[in-house]
Amino acid sequence: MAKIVVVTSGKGGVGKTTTSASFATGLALRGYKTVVIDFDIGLRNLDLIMGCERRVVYDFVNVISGDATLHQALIKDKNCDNLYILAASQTKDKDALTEEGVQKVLDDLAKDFDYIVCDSPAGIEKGAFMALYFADEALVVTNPEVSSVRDSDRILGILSSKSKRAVEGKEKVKEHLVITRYNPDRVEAGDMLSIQDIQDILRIPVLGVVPESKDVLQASNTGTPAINLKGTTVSEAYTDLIARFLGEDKPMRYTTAEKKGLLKRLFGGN
Amino acid sequence: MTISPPVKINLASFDYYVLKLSPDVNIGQIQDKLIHLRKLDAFGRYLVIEFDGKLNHEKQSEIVKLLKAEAIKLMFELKFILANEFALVKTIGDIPVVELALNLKSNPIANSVLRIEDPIRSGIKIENDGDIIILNLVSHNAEVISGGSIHVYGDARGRLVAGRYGDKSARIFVQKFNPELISIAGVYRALDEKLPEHLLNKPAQVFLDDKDRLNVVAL
Repeated sequence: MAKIVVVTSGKGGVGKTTTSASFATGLALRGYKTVVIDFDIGLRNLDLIMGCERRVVYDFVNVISGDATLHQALIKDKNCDNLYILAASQTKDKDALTEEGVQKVLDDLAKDFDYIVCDSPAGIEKGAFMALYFADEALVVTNPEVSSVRDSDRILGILSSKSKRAVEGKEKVKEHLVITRYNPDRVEAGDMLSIQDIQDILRIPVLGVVPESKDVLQASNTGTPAINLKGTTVSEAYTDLIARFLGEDKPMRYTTAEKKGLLKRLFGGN
Repeated sequence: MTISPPVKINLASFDYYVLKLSPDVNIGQIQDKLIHLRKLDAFGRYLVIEFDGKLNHEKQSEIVKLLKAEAIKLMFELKFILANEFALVKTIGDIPVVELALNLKSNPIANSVLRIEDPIRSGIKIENDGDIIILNLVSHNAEVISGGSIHVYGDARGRLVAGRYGDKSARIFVQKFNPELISIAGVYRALDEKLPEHLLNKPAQVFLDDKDRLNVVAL
């Protein structure tokens, strides 16, 4: 039986799609058959970040409305055998997502896949609600910044009261915190919330901390999930995150400010 | 937990109807009763159903189903609660009966305590007519609204509204005090400024004094 994992945040621009792409790729690299679905109907991004936008012929809404089969709409990732993408529609609106329609697509996918990753849109409107409704586990993506943390708290409230598991009184959706754009130097200078500050507000376990890095922008501009940029801190952080998600014990990295040597302090540089 | 429309901080009154049913109640009697209730303008009110002890569970759920179906047929908006045998009941005529319970204090439903163990997140609203006990944190922008007192054994960062129906003896007890808003019996204060050291994130209680002023004291 497939596990449904939603990647959500409330606030926009915190790294949901970047995290979805890298998380799904990471699971697939570990040998799990994974599909990642873009729930941001009308503003599709996931296919761009996964570098497959030119191969989108049929999308999620086409499958729901019966215009295409799942087989036609699933796009196989070019780098990774176990990974498939179900793109969002650019031309439809969020009302196309019906509960029965989404349920049927997820049920059909569950027969073939180990993990179904749902990339949620920002906000708490229908698209975001549909993305989290069926979830078994949730990655709540947050930036070290008050408004982002507050929105994540709101999403956690919705997960614990309005998700299918909550409505049916089943075991709670398992919540994981993913902190992105973390900059230990700025935390030390007091410009950013620390991991401790964020945990004090949200009180859920931290699955991973992804450092702020210019590689993320480069990754999305070239259509490569950040986890595939070998040797970068972001790739390493996502690889650790996957390991922890699969139950391995990995210490957090890139969470403390680097001690700068005399030369570095004199001449700057990153 | 529910997410519902904005708060009314001070609701003046609360009432409901009690419907007592005996084992030999039949569908005709239920229909009569509902028509009677409709005449009383019971729209949106709670209907407390009290069963005579001799009714078994199966029969009870059967009757509740029947009531709901009949209420819908009559275009009736009633919320049902099952009472225990302590509910206030009077009878009119020979048929089981309708009574307006006015006294909140002697009202077993209103005085029931709600205990919550999960965190109360931003945007979630918790309401209870009796006391509310929370064993976890109350996040910023969460609302806790009680007819009686509120007890928070954790960080209180949201809005705490006690004595919503005007009970001035209601109090708020908090383990780590830092709420956005406190209110007792309609007297409220938004805590916009930074709290003094001896209160901030410390155990504290809130009560109304004899001049209806809100007092916050460290515990």
